[in-house]
Amino acid sequence: MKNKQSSVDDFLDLSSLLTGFDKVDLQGTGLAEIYRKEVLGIIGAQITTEIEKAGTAIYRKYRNREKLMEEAVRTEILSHAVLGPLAKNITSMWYLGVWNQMPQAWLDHVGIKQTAPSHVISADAYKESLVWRVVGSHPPGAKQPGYGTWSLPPKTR
Amino acid sequence: MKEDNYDVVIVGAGIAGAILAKELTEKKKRVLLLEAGKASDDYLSYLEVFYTALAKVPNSPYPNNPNAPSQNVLNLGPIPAGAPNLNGYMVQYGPVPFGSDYTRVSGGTTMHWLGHSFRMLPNDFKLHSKYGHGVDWPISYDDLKPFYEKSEWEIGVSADVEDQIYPGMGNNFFGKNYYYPMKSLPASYLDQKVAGGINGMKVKLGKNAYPLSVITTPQGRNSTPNKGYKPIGASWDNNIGQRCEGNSNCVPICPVQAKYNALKTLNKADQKYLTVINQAVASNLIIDPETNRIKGVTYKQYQSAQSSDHTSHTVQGKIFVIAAHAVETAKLLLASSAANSSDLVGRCLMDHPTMLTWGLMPEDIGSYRGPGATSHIPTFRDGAFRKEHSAFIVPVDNWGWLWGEFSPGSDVTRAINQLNLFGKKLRGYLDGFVSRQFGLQFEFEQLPQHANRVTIDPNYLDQLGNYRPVVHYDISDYTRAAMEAAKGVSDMIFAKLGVEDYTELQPRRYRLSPMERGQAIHSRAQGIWSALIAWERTNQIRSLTKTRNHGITKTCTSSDRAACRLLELPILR
Repeated sequence: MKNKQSSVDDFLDLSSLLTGFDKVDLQGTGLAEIYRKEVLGIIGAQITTEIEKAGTAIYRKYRNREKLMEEAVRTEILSHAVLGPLAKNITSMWYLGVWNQMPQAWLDHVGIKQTAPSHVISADAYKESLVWRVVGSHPPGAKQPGYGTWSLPPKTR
Repeated sequence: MKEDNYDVVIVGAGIAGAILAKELTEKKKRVLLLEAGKASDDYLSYLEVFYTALAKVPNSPYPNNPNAPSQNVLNLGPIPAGAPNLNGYMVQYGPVPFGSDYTRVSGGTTMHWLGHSFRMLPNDFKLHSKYGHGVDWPISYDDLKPFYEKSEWEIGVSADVEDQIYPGMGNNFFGKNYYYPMKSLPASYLDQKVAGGINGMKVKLGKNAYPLSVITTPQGRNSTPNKGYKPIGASWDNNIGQRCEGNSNCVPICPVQAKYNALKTLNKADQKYLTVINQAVASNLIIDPETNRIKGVTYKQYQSAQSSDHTSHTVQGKIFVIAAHAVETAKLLLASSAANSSDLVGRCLMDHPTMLTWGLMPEDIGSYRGPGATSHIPTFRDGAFRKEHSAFIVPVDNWGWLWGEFSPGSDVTRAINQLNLFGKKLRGYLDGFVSRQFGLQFEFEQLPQHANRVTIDPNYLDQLGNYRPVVHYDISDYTRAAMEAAKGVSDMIFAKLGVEDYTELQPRRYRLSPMERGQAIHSRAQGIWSALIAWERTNQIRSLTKTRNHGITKTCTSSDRAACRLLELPILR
């Protein structure tokens, strides 16, 4: 059942814009729902819904039109006092599997008194952190590519 | 005292203790092994802890145990004059922070060592007569050679003898028919690029020019076995880890135990003759005043790391082996007023001071793949320059800027927060930037300096009431001069390879800020994985057989009244 207000699918739309990965890749990590819950738990439903709505609107309107999309993300999300820092944190969460504590100025601005400190979200979050895919490697200690693979040329990506 | 009277009581279940336990029980000696830390019987739980650790430093997978504390590199920091840094387990007086850590858990620091297994060179043993620095050893390379062979076969070192060409190695460095137990691990793609670029290049140091070479690094990591050797896999399932699987995570933890750790040796001991007591911290050696021999060890046994509740016990034995790591061994001897009429116990503390240089290669070199380093430059391990400054070895880093810049985590954070990148441009930027990251490590010899020492102070105790190590440590001008020379070498190598230099040779950021910790997806801080290379002379207590945390052991008795120097080999990283 799809919740019209906000859903994992909206979160994936937003995440696809921010990470530069297709939704199918993000879905394949198995972490979309977990990450969304993390954001909801730390930031609350109101701002989370707001950023998801902004993201999904841009995604639907401009997907495959890279330039317009970038423009819209910068205008409506990244330069937005509330949504901008959160968007950066969501991007970083996908790339590193780490939730960074929100900056104090932002917390003051939105009126959050106590917040989660920086932490690795889970072992799976570490293993699925996107940075390793981007650079053609694997998370150290997981998804090992096999004996001697390091001696071969890096794969084209 | 307990009824039990063991043939040999060993303190410390690291590599030295494990090898002794194995060899002695094979000879049907009744051995008691006391380990301060916890048993490593749930290795996979270490891995889970590692995955979720924010700062993936060498000790991050292993239990934080206030009853047998370990130094954590995150506690390093600048030391104000006159006041020690008390943040970590070590009480650091400096002036330079001692940057290495060790692990107090069964298996010891081999749990997080990198696995590099170098032999020392013949001239290392006669530094004073040859180059006018340091001291000559009372033994030579040839004396140690058979023990190197033995420990390489125990550890399971992968290397090809014909590749191993070092300066000043002489004609018979390896025995005539000697071969390593396993073939060399393949050199990384980036090693090949570096070797292709700089092999044979001449670099001037002082009056002489030295031709560079890049060769594969002998390492305790499973590859293809040679005749007569069977690789040993994971301690929980021998079918796992029969070969390195390219986890790129030797430090802090190999997920499949393709890398050697002392648990493998411990498992080979004849369990009929071996008693192991974990969570038993040796706190005092009992010395018979008449014979001047050790007759017992007192240890404190605890049930839980969370509580300081413990019971004290004493065990007896014929021979006692203190194999508790260079720092812990010195601490125990000092706490027991043992073996120290020379005032040399704990002195001449050594590390391997490291300088990193890093930059961007002109093309994708496939960084962050494979074991930490698969090749090194041996050129500066020996030569006439040792009259002016210390020798150094140069591992070619497979892990990019991980150590220097906490990359790629810090690159991601910078790209998002400072460069304001997102989406496909963020991907493109990271791809182009991270996969070209290249780094060299310069690791320097330290000479024995009396003032560099481990000592104890009743004002500084851990929660069980045992001494914390109090450390005084500095880096001499002889070693500092080598760092300057090495930066020159790095500059020339970077120029030849077309590397864009990003090195910032500033005092290290010893302590990670909370933000940096967030970025430190897989960080190594300063000097982290090394064990110590300490050098002591002790000759008073006849029954004291003392070893270090490595494959080589040497027995020291008072029958030889001349100073008996105990050596730690091969260099453990």
